[in-house]
Amino acid sequence: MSSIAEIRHRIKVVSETQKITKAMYLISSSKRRKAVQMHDRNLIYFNKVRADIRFILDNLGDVRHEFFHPRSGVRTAYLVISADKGMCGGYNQNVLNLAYQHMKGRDERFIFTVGQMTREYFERKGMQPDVEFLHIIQKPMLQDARAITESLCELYEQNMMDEVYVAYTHMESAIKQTPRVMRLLPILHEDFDGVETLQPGRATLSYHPSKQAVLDALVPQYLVGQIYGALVHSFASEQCARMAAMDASTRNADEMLTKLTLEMNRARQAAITQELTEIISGAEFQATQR
Amino acid sequence: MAKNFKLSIITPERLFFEGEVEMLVVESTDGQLAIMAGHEQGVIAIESGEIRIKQNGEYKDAAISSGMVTVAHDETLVMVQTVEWPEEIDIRRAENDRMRAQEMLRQKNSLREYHLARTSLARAMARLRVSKSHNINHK
Repeated sequence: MSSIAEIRHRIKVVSETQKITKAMYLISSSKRRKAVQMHDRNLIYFNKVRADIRFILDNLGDVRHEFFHPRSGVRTAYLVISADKGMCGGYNQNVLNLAYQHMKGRDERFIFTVGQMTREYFERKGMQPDVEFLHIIQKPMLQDARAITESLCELYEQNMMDEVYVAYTHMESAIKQTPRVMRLLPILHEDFDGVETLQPGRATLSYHPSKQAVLDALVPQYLVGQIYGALVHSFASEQCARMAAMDASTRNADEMLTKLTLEMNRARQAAITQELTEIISGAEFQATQR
Repeated sequence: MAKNFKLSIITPERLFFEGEVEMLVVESTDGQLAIMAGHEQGVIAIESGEIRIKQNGEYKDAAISSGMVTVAHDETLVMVQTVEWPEEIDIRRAENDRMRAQEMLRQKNSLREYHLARTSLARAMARLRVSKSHNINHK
């Protein structure tokens, strides 16, 4: 049996850790509220923009626009979104592993990272990230999505890559988050199968001022929307995951504390009993001496 | 009584407007364009500027960034990066944005930054125009 001092020390350590996990739980639960609000507001746009693209693609006919044509090469860019820190269960690992699996077989790749964990993960795998976007995931904002879109579009237009994917975590509910890999560019009709459109059936659309100008306007609109959506989804997922993880560890700490307190009480009682025995036997010994 | 049509104006950050309206006026690359019920189906690229919404005989204005309008049979959808009512615009912030964007344009470091600066200048100007025409003063 360990000594009382030892157990007391462990209780102190555990309860201090519990204080931290409790604080982190509270922080992420307040962040989560904000994140879920952002997520709900974005959801309308996220879905509508897809419905709109489907509507336009359905009625587009023949068009020559570089963002809408598959390129023959296999150079692939990945935008991988994870958190800046751990302590959120399997959240980071899930999305990073999925992205890594997806990268297998695509040897020419570019990696764009959002979140410190992405950078660390790929450096550990010996794959140096090409572009790092810092400090975004702690508070995703529209202008961040805009900056990411600009640099992706620029590289795509310069014909540096053939496909662009984003790996993020989709928040389905407070308890269910699934990592996903989604194609951003080129914009192909097959990616929109099953997406609800504005109005079923075919119609001839007019383009103002021209088809080219409309598509030029559509692409950044779509990309910013999707990238911002992916950031918000990831941010909300991270907070949900961290809340669940911290809740679990607070409960574990509680369990440990109960066990340790019991152990300490036993040890204390044993010590008292032993002391008593010693005193009594000492007293008895003295009585016999007299 | 004019016929109404369903209009939604959305940005990645929020649902800005949803409702039955009589008319929508937007600024396209070649000038203003009005959309009423029964408008031809199509897609319109719009510039940073003002939009006017006519609802129950009254006009409402808002400052808008570039984006696009999709006119479908049963609804009209405006998708943009940012859109604000006049009372939401912070003049001082818009003025600061304008100065910063002009400064960036003057320095014009790279093409990409140039594009960013130009679009943010257009947004700032639109905000100032809309809020000035509504005489809102933030002190």
